[in-house]
Amino acid sequence: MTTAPVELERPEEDLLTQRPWRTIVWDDPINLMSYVTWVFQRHFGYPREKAHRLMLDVHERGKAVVSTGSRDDMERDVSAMHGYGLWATLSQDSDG
Amino acid sequence: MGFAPGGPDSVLLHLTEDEQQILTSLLYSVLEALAEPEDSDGDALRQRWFPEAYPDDTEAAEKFRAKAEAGLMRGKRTNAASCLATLDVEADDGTRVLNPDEATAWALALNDIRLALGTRLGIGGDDDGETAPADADVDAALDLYDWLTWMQETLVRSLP
Repeated sequence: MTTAPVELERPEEDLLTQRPWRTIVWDDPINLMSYVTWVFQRHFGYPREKAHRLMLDVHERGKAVVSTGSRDDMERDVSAMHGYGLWATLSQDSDG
Repeated sequence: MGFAPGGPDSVLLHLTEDEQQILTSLLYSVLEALAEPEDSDGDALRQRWFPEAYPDDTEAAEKFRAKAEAGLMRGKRTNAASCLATLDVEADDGTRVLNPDEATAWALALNDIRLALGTRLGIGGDDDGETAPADADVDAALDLYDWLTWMQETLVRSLP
């Protein structure tokens, strides 16, 4: 059995994208706490308690990471959050 | 008035004649704002409706915007149109029965309206509250904003 160094042949991008991306929702003064909780339940399918906790993080700490995954998936989540009127951004985990 | 639970698959919407007219006019305002040309890019509402997805990467932000914005605009238009359609039907005693899709469209459209009005009023900004000059128009807009907030609260509580 040989162990060819296939990893070396991967383009650099593939290696980079293995570091997870994060969807971050930021606090804003207009969106209602009850509405934000409802959005997290509806879009992510989170149980009410988890959705509520994330909403409180947004409200009290100014932001919360609401999902992690591939860049494409996080772009979809950010776009969905924008569709609900939430202020969301995505960024890549700096410490992998 | 406002929204109320209607059953496992419905939400009730109670409106007076005046409230119906106000909401109709606000929903048309959303459609008009969406139809405004791209050169209003710098305005605060556009930034709030279509936020930067990559705050530290202009190029990625532009690519994202190019991919996402048309769909977001279409969604807002569809929601506003769906709400207008529910207002267009005859309602006994001003009560309408909304199905889950219609109720969801209302939740999103009310949020779009509150984002637009709240942004214009500078809600949460440095100059809201006591420092704002007394102005009958601003007072009326704040009353309207508070009413929309209450409406949205009653809706979120009523969603199946």
